[in-house]
Amino acid sequence: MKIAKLKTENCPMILHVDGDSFFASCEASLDPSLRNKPLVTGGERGIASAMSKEAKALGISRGMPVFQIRKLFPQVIIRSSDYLNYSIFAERMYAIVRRYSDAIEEYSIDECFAVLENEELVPEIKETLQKELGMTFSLGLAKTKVLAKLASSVNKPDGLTILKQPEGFLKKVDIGKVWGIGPATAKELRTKGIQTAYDLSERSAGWGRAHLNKPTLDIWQELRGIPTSGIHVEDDAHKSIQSTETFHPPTSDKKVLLSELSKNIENASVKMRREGLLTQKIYYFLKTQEFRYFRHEIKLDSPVGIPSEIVKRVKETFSQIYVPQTLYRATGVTLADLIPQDKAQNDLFGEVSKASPWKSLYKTIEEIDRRYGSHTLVLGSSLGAFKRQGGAIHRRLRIPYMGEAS
Amino acid sequence: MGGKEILDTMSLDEFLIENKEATYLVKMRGDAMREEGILPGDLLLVERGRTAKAGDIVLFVRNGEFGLMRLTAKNKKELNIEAVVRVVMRKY
Repeated sequence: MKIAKLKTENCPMILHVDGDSFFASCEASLDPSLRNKPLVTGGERGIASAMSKEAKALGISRGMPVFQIRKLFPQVIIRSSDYLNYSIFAERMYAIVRRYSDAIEEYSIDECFAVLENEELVPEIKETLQKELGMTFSLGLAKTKVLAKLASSVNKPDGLTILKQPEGFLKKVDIGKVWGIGPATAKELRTKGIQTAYDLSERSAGWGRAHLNKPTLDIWQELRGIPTSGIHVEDDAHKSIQSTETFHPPTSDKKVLLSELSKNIENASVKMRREGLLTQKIYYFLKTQEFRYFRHEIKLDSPVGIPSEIVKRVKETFSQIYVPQTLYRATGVTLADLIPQDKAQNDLFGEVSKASPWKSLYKTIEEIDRRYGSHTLVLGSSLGAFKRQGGAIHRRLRIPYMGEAS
Repeated sequence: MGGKEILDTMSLDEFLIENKEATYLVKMRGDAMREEGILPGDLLLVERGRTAKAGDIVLFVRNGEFGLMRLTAKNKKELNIEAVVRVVMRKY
């Protein structure tokens, strides 16, 4: 374990946790015959998505076609991706980090951020993740997300970098390596005399405002140790109700995505109604094939209990996060800011004028569901999604399977 | 009505699993553990990160494969221990 530690101060810091070769590490965690060997995942897509340390040492990189890898390096083991397992490992990673922090942001399938009061916990977090998940993580601790992400990236794999006085460190970081600065921006900044992350952080605010676009200005600020955005915390179970679903195959079809979201909304609404609650805030997301989340938040003017009203609001805002021709693999909805129905100022369904016909309608739906099984009746907007589900999902246990032992 | 008393009960998951994030499934192959009461086809819940002590049944790695053995003071040092068996399950 490599530890890099710089000077001391006292304030809450941001921790970045990053799985090393995550997909490949998940495979090796469950199968000892894969350990310490060159291993690549992505077999089913024909391109390498993750590579073990040994595979990287051979020169294999992400995106390399599998047929080429087989030809050049016949000793490399190629595995198909098991996204379900990777998701389970990701949930476990978040849950372990949550033991140490109340505010964590599940940034992607192999990364999370957390607010950490006590930096002495970092080595323990790292060791616990490794012991319980059977794989290594690289951790970075710093004042801001950009700095923390840089810190974790610099000593991979199995690294631990605590960054208190980042100056010396930033002088060694090429500007192109900074999170959020792509090759085009890096090229442009180099023409302005900025070669390292330090160079950028040293420019004045005036210069920044004159020469940088908003995202890069935010990065400039974060490099200087001043956070620009908070940790985006998922609501905990008591304060929100969530329904998410992954579907096969992934799709870019807007109609399909909206029907999946409609189904999520119906599922969540059933749970919400059962608890006698109404929602005042809705989050929904689209999740791409690359496990990136695109979220939208809708604040409601008055509490709502009717799924069709929520579907309407989601439809209205959908184009704000949907990018045509992107493949999405999952959707989800969170109903948050929940309040008991009797606390709502309006009546049961929160909208006095339209409520009465809905009230008796939903009472009837619930009765039919009770008699004939849930989701006997669904919103027309969800129909497509329920039909697709009917077919093929074979459920397995949520506990990762390590195979046989003798 | 059904209400709050039911909160005093726990699910089977909660009963069987002490550390959710560290628990994994393994299936028994062959007869080597018959005398310990583990039959071929039995499903085991194993826990990583738990300090193994003599008397525990452990999952270990040898030659790229998983094995099971009851730990003694003697074999403790020789085994590459992966996890400790916490539960044995068999469905009829």
